[in-house]
Amino acid sequence: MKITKKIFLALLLCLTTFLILPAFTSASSEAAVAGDAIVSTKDSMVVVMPSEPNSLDPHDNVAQNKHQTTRQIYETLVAYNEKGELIPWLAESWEYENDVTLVLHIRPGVYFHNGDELKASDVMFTLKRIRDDKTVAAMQVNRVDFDKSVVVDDYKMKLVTTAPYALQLPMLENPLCGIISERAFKESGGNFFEAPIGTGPYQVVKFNIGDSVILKGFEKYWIKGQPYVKNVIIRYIKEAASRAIEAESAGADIVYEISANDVDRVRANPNIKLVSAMGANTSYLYMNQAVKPFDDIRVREAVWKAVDIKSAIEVAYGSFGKLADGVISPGIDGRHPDMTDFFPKQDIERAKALLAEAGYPDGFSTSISANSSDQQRKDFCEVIQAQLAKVGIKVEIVIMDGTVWASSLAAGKGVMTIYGLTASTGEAGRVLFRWLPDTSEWPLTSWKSPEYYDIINKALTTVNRDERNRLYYKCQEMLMTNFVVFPVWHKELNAACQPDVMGFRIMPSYEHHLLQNVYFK
Amino acid sequence: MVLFKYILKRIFFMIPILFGVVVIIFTLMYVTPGDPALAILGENATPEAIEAIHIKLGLDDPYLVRLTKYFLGVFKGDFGISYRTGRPVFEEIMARYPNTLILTFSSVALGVLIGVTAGIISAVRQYSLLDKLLTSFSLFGVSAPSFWLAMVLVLFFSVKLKWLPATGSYGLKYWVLPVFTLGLQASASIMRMTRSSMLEVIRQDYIRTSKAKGQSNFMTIMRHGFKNAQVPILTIIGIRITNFLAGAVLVETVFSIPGLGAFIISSVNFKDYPVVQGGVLWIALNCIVITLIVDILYCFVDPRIKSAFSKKQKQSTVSSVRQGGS
Repeated sequence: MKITKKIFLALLLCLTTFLILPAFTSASSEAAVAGDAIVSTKDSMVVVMPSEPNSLDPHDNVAQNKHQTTRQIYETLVAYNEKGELIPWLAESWEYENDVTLVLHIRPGVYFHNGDELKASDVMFTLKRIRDDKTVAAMQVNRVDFDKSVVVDDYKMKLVTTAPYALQLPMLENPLCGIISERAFKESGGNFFEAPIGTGPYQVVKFNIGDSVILKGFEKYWIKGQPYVKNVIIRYIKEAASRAIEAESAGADIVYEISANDVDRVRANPNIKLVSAMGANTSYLYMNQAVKPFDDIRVREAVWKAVDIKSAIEVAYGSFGKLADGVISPGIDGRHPDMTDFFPKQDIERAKALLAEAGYPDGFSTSISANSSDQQRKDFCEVIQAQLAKVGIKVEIVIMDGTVWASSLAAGKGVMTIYGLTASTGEAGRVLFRWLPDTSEWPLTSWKSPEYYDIINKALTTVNRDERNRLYYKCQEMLMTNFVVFPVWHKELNAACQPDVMGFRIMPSYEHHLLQNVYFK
Repeated sequence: MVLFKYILKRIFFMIPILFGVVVIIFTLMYVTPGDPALAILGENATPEAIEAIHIKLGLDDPYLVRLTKYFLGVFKGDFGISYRTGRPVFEEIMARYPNTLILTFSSVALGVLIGVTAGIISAVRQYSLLDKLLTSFSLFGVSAPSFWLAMVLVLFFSVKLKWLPATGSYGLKYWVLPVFTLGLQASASIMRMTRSSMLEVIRQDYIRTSKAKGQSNFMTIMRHGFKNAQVPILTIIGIRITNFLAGAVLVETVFSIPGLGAFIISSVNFKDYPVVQGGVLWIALNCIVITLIVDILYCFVDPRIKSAFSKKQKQSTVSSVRQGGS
């Protein structure tokens, strides 16, 4: 009996200890934030992204989804801060020697994952490789005169452009300009599967093709203390519904790109933190002026007045994103301060009158095309079809496979379409120059305006920011007053985070959110 | 010897079949609209970059030139290079093939376990309540779309109960839901075939004789009944394996399992022709091999089939001798 009582008391003591102990351990697992030092409570995180990179070469593909991974490995000379300002990154500072010469001072004490220190020669090698290998990134340096550009010393170089070019520095912020190690590239023969060597906070442990990438924190990363979470597993889940489920089942710490169909449900889930921000992408309703009757400005105006874009966006996107209120997305440098008056209110009678003036009193038949993989755009097209029917415009909806659709638009075969442009450099010029005739997007509108070309070309070569922005505002006004494109929707970027995830920030331009800032509380 | 010759003959006939598969899939991809260069480079690619890709990948070559180059490569075991990743297609296939194999064979194994057992029970207890329940279950199993079943299981077990992970293939517990999804489908069709086959057999005289001789019910059913009912069951198992090898793409997509089916589908979207061609060819080869294995197994499962081969051989030898003699 006595022995049984002793055993019982011992068990009770153990049980009590077992129950009380977590209280102490959880208290000690609070993230210590003292001054600038952040200590994460967890050492690894799982991040789900929508699609896997085709390779770990930072220069070979413009797809933003790809850079979500590679941006953790490779870095650029400059970066954008939370206010959308260009800040030093691998380039410690810069100045313009004259209108065509950009002097870059490379940050000392930055190392590649193979132990080599970053030098100006690596930067020059990277930019030349981008051009010489005819990579997709070549457009980022297509105005650089490499014959005149020089490496001055280990940490200083001069980049000379063929003419004054205001966008050159923002172009270098594009993850397509991720800096690579010259030695690693040459030794591996340019095989990025074998040697994905960058200066980023994470280095590649393993690339499981079709499934995941395993990263580990780079011990010699130049920002002390970062990355806060040392081990990252990036998983790729293509299906939007599966990604939402992964977030809801807490299968991953961060899940990128919750779709419009799932966002309300995920947002309402108390166990998930939905981080969102306006992106740099705006969708537009295009009318190809090379196809009658859209060459007539009255017809274009009639279409604008016939549609109720607000309803169309509500049907297609629900609460996801924002009804467009400007040509350029909010937060982008050079966005027109107020374009309210340029957006027409729906006026069916006025639309009919304009059509009658233009010689189409009974309307006409036309078509609108959309990408088969974008349900929201298809829904939008259906609403537009119904709205234009009220003024006698019969619209046939043509749904095409993505690449077929893109090819047909680039070939000028589109009539009406909805298409998005991203101000990926963080400033308006990146979008506004797409209406120049030598761009791949020009055939979507086939708009000829020498005056516009002069203004935008002048803007792109104007180094003074305020003056450049004034010219950008003028361009945006011209696009609206000539009914060239109807801005319809500003894209929202989001990610679903578990409640203990801290420090995660949406990067609007290339959507390459930096994981080095993330920690767990 | 006869069986060996039969196997050789079947292997020989594989060649024209595979040839036909290659021509058909190559032609289909060739005529499908869309530019792989745009898929590789993205919508905003410049015309110069697109042209460079066309030249690099030989996309501007005529149909016959491209087909011939492809055939020559396949004969050497080279399935080409993926447009998307730049890696050999065979490596890409092999990186994903094991996941498809695991999913396929695990699901079929589960399906056989449940299906055969349920089918036998159902047949032996025909018209009973248990039979009705099992038949209803099989009807549900063959009717329910796999992707719907997968989503329902995920919503219940992963989201609601949080017992099992929703996606991935990183350990045993990740495979539970996908294998159960496909296994349920497999078990339904196997169960129906088993039941039907067993019902035919258990009504035979030799079964009655076995019982009359005092053999236990279990031994009668399993030793005399089931053994004779195996051939159609083996057929349906073979069909299921080939179905899942080629068509588990929906389950792979819902559960984000990096399998061959999902990879081929995403390659179609990407216009990654070499991967689509190589992947379909590989699956076709697998299906042919599986069918051949099933045919061989018939001989071991049912000795009458094996002896039928020998009889045919003897008959053809005798008739050729008779024709030569007269």
